[in-house]
Amino acid sequence: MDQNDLGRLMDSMRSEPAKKPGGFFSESGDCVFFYNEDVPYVRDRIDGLVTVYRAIDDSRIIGVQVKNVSRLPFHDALQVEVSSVNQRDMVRLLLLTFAKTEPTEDSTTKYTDAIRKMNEPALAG
Amino acid sequence: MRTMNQQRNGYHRLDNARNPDDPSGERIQLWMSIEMVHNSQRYSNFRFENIKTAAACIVDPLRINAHIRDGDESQGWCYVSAPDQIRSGQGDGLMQNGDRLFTVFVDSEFRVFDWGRENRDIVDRDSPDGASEQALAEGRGRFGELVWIKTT
Repeated sequence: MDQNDLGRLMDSMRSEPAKKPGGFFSESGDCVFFYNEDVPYVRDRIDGLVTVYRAIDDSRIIGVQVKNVSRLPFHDALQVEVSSVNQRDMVRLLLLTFAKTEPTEDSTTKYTDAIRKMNEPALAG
Repeated sequence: MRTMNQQRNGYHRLDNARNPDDPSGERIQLWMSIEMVHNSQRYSNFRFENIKTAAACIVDPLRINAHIRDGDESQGWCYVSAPDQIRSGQGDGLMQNGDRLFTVFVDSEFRVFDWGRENRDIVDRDSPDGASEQALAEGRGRFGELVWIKTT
């Protein structure tokens, strides 16, 4: 399939309703993606488990990716294998993930910032 | 063996990707789940529109790194490119990529599951932050192995 096929597939989805803000679980990546705002961003890796998304204009956190979700304790209780993930889910995921790390001052600050962002009223972007 | 014109139910085929197992050899197909495309559209236009940037990255990467997860015995790769422009997230709109790289993550089943902009490594400017050969040699690398470096 070429770029035209990809373009047609994407075009077929453009009119579908968005669910912003929100996130989803990826089975192939074993990770959860979450977007508080829909703006251009740069990935900023905290560690092997968490990457935050920072807005290009002022580096604020606008989203987060949590990896190795299936290895988290209480994974079954989190019920993340659903297509829709909310802010509360993300706070729980970040706290559980942080508990598995060997925190440094820098990583603690970044995790704290990400958790704080997940607790803010989300912007649709 | 991965032959041409395969199909996977529920997946969109991305042709002509450089083969991470044999980067100088025959091109292969990678896959992106239709659900992943849907979810990208639902939650981030920037992510959604840059699926096209990801499709270009896997064809002509500057770097391919293997072993993309800590402690993960399975493979998985990170393709790296440096496009001048990327999608802005507003339809077909483009924006300058600036001094940044574009990365695409692929699992051991050759499924693309993530992509986006990243900062360059301070040592190897064609590797994403923390993924230079030096970092790898010193055992502090973000990935396990550098399997492809574009030389021309």
